[in-house]
Parts: sequence; C-alpha cells; structure tokens
Amino acid sequence: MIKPRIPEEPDLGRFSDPALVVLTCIADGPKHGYAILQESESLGFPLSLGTLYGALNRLERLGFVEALPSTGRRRPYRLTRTGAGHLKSRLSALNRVVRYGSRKLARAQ
Amino acid sequence: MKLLLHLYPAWWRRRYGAEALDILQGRPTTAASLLDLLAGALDAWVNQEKPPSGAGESDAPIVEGGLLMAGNRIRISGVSGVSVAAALGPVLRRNAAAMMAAVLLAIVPAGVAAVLTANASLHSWGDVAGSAGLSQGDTVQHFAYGPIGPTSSHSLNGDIVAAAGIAAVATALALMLALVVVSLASFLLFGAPAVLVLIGAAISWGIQLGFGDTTLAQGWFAAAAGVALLALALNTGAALPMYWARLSGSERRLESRREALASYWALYRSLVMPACGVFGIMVFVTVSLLATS
Repeated sequence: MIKPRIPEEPDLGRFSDPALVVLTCIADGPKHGYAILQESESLGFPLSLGTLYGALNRLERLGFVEALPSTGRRRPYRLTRTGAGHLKSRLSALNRVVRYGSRKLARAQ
Repeated sequence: MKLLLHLYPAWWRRRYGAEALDILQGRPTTAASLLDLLAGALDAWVNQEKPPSGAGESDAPIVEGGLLMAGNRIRISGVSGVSVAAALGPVLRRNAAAMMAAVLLAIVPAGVAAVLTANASLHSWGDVAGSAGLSQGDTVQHFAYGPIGPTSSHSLNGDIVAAAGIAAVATALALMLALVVVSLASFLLFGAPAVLVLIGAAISWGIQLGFGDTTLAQGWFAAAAGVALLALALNTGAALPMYWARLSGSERRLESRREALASYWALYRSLVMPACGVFGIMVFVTVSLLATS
C-alpha cells in the first residue's frame, strides 16, 4: 500500500480546516479572536464564534498556539514553533495537491 | 446571545468568555450564529478541555462541601487521540471518594448479611422469613435461585445459545436503562432512593451468599448478581456528586450540577456500561448452564 505523502496530522475532526485558517491568520504575528474572525472573512473562509474557539482550544492543547496576557477583554494568540512547523508542512502538502490537480486538469482540457 | 454563553462550562467562560462576549456584541445576531453558539457549547462540554494554564489564568479547582467537583472536562470522544483510559483518569481521581463510598455501601451490608445468614444456619429465603417471624410452619423448600431444572440433561445447541444470547443482551440493556432511571429519578430526592436500592440489593445478595452450598449454575448466577451489584455501586458512586450538588445551596450550584452530570455520564459510559456488559456475559453462561443441566 502506498503511503500518502501528505504529512500525518493530529486528528482535529471537523476542526481541521478552521484550525488551518486560524494558524494562517496568526502566521504573521499574534492576534486576538476578533482580529482572527475578521481576517478569516477577508480570506474567504469566515469562521463563526463557536468554531473559532473550538479550533483555538484544540490548537492550544496541541501546543500549536499559545495565549498571551489579555489586553482588556481581548486575548491575543501567538503561533508557537511547533505550530509554525505544522502550518508549513500542511501548506506544503496542500501546495502539492494544488499543483498536481492543476496539471491533471490542464492535461484533460 | 449573552445568555447563551452561560451554557458553556465555567472554565470556558473564564478562558474565552470576555472576548467572546465582546465579539458577540459587535456582530449581528443571525440564526446561523445562534446555532453555532449552541453547537459550540455542546462541543465545549463534550470534546474540549481547559488548555494548559497561561496568560494569568487561575487554575484553582472547584471544591465544594468536601467533594472535589469536576473543574475540568474529560474528552468523551477522542478528538485528539487521547486514550479513553488516560481521559478517564482525572475524572476517576476527582470522584474516587464518592465511588469508594458507594462500593463500601455495597460491600459492608453484603458482608454483614452473608456472615449473619451463615451463622444463623439459614439456607433459604423461607428460613429467613421464618427467622424474621414473617411465616410460620412453612415447610416448602425455597431454593436460593429457584428450583434446579429437569434432571435430564441437554446438550448445548443453537436454540439454547440463541435464547441465552437474547437473555444476555436483554438483561444487560435492561440493567443499563434501569441504572440511569434510578440515578435520574433519585436526583429529585437527593439520591436517597439510589442509596437505599444499593443497600437493599447488597443485603439481598449477602443473604443469598450466606445460604452456601450452591450448584455450578447457582454459583454463576450469584456471580452475575454480584457483577450487577458492582454496576449498581459504580453507578451510585458516579451519581453521588450529582446528588451532593443538588444538596449544596451555593451560588455555584447550577454549574456544579452540570459538571457533576457530565462526570456521571463519563463514568457511566466508561465503567457502568462495561460492568453491565460483563453482567450480560455472565447471564449468558448461567442460562446456558441451566438449560443444559
């Protein structure tokens, strides 16, 4: 049996895609929940509140993000080194799928 | 919308509540966001846990009335692959005192009843009734687990296996259902019925043990009844914090009840249901032995 080249990832269930969006949103620096929601909307993958915190909770427990001291009512979240590695490998795997799928589509047309 | 946040566990509100409220107040309320909040609350109770402490958050557990209540949630479905055994550990530790108390409530009366019955040379329920002055001159022999079947033996065949299997499944499911009903019905009466049922069942089982001299099938039946008693004890122990939360009148009452109920379900699924399964297997063996003896 051929092993998939897409790296093994933690089982996040239905939170797998929202978690990827959250990691992408905070890739360039710490952001609080409201900013993540806004950026997810501009990215075209809007997160809802329950989904956002469900994903954040799982990512925190996996050590992919860490909470910083809150400023007022808002608490910023920062990407950890492990989280950055995970995001990099996920994006790289998705890139391979995109390139492969695009080549196949191009050949078919 | 703000009220919906109260459906979330306490640790969740402490961790995310202020920011979530801030976001809710700045966004329009739609049916989809409402549903999302409700689904999020369920997810928070069932699958999420308090993350490692950080960012100046208190980790103090919730202690009320001497019983350590569930300040953290365990994951019931393995979203992040943590084994059930590992997830069960914290809940078991939190409820260890209650579980131990319930098991003692079963063992002590059963032991006392067994010793008293054996010392009094009682060998049937008729003897017990007679010694208690409930019947006089009763010469009918009452067997410990009912009369032993016909003297001719049958070999194990498909019909017997099917009948024993149906009996096993039905009794295991019936026990599971009965235990939930007892726990939830007892909640309204602060757990008194559940505790009384446990003590009553333990005494009955102890008396039965005290009769002694059983056949192989009777021995299996007694063991099956013992497993059922263990399931009842575990079920009562798992529910004790729930009853305690009903008794306590602090401002954290509702929260404690929710946490105790969640712990009860976790323990019910992890300990009580498997015990009921073992009970079903023992019923299967007992019925097979009775049918072939």
